[in-house]
Amino acid sequence: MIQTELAIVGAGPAGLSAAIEAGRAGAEVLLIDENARPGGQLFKQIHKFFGSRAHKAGTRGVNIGRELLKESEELGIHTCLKGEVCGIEEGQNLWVVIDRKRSEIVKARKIILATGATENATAFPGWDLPGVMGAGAAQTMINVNRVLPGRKVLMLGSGNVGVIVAYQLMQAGAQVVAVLEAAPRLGGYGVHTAKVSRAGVPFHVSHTIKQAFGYDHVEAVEIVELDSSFNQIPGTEKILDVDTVCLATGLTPLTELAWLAGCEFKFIPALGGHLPIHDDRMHTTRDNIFIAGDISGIEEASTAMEEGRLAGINAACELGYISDEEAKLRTKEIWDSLNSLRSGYFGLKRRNSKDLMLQTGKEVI
Amino acid sequence: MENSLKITGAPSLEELHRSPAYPPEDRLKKGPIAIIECIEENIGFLLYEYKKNQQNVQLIP
Repeated sequence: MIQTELAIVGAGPAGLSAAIEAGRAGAEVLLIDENARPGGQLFKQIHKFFGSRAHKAGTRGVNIGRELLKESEELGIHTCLKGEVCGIEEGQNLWVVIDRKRSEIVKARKIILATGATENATAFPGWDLPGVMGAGAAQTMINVNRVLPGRKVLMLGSGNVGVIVAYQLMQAGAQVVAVLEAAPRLGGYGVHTAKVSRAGVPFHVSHTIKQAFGYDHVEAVEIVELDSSFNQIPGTEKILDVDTVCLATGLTPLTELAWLAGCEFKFIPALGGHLPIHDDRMHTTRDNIFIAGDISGIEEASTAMEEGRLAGINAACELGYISDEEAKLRTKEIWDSLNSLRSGYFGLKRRNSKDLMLQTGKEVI
Repeated sequence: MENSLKITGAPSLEELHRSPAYPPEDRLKKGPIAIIECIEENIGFLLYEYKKNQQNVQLIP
C-alpha cells in the first residue's frame, strides 16, 4: 500500500495545475496517469491559446504543457505513470494497475479526479472500418506520433476540434476533402473556420455521413443532406473519395471513478451530460473528493488549469497547508478569472451552466 | 452573402463591411492595409494594421 496526503488522478492540464498548487503549499502529492508521459492533451495542441495574457493566450498548448511539467518537477511532485486507476473504495483508497503488470492500493487523505473526457463516436454503416477515428486521435497521430492517418480526410463536425484538427491535418500533408456539419450553421470560432475555408476546404452544413465503403479500410464515403429535423433527404446523396474519416462530434466527461465513489450527479447537457455535483471549491458531494477539468464539464484547457488550481488550493487547505482565509481569497480570485474566460458569445452558455452547477452544489454540499 | 461566416466558414465582404472595425474609406486611401480575419457574430472582429515603417503590428480596437 502506498500512502499519500493527496492523490490526483490524471496528469493533464487540470491535474498538473492542481498538483503544482498543492505541492507549492507543502502537501505530499502523488500524480497518477495512465499514459507514459504526463501532460494530457496539451502535447498535441500545437496551436496558440486564446484568451488573455493571464490565461497564456498566444502560447502553444505544447509549450504550456512543458512549463507545467517543469514546475511540477521542480516542486518534486511524485508521478506514477502507466498507472490505471480502476477502482475507488471508501472514498480514499485507489486501486491502481501499474504498467498492466501489478496492482497497488493508494491510500490518500484527499483525492482530486482530473480524468478528462473521451471522444464521442457517431455510428453509421461502415463506421467500424479502419480509417474511421476520433479527430482527437488523428491529432495525436500527427502531432505526437508524427504519423499521417490518411491522405484524403473527411471531417465530421465543425466545432473547434473539427476545424483545428482539419487545419493541422493539412499542415501535416493530408488533403481535407470536406468538413460536414449536421446543424444548419458551423460551430467553430470564425478565426479557425475562415483559415480552413480560405485554404479551399468546402464546408457542408446540414449534412452527415450516410455510410462508409471499403474492404479492409475506408475507400469512399456517402454523404447526405439533412432537413431541419435532422432527417436524411433522399436523393441528396453524394460520394466522396476519402480514405480517412475523423469524428469531431463532441466529448463526454470521464466520470466513472466519481460514480464508483458515490458522488451525486447532475445532468447538464451544455457541459457534456452527467457531471459530479461540485461547489466553488471543486469539492464533490463525497468527503475528501474534488474534481477539476473536463470531468466537471467539457471546456477548454485554460479553464481546466484554473479549475485544477481551485481543487489544489482547497485540497491543500483541507489538509491544513493553507488557511481558510487564504483559500477563500484565492478561490474568489480564480473564479473571477474563470468568469472572464466564460464570457462573450461562446462563453455565456458555459457560464450559465456552471452557475447552475454551483447553485446545485451550494444546496447539496 | 448573408451569414457566410457560419455557412461557408469565411466571412463575406459584406460581413466584413458590416464590422465596426473595418478600415474607413480615408484609411483605405492612404495605402495597402492587411486585414487578418478574426470575426465573430455580435463580437466584431480584430483588425491588425501592419505598419511598414515601424515593422510592428498594431491592434486596432
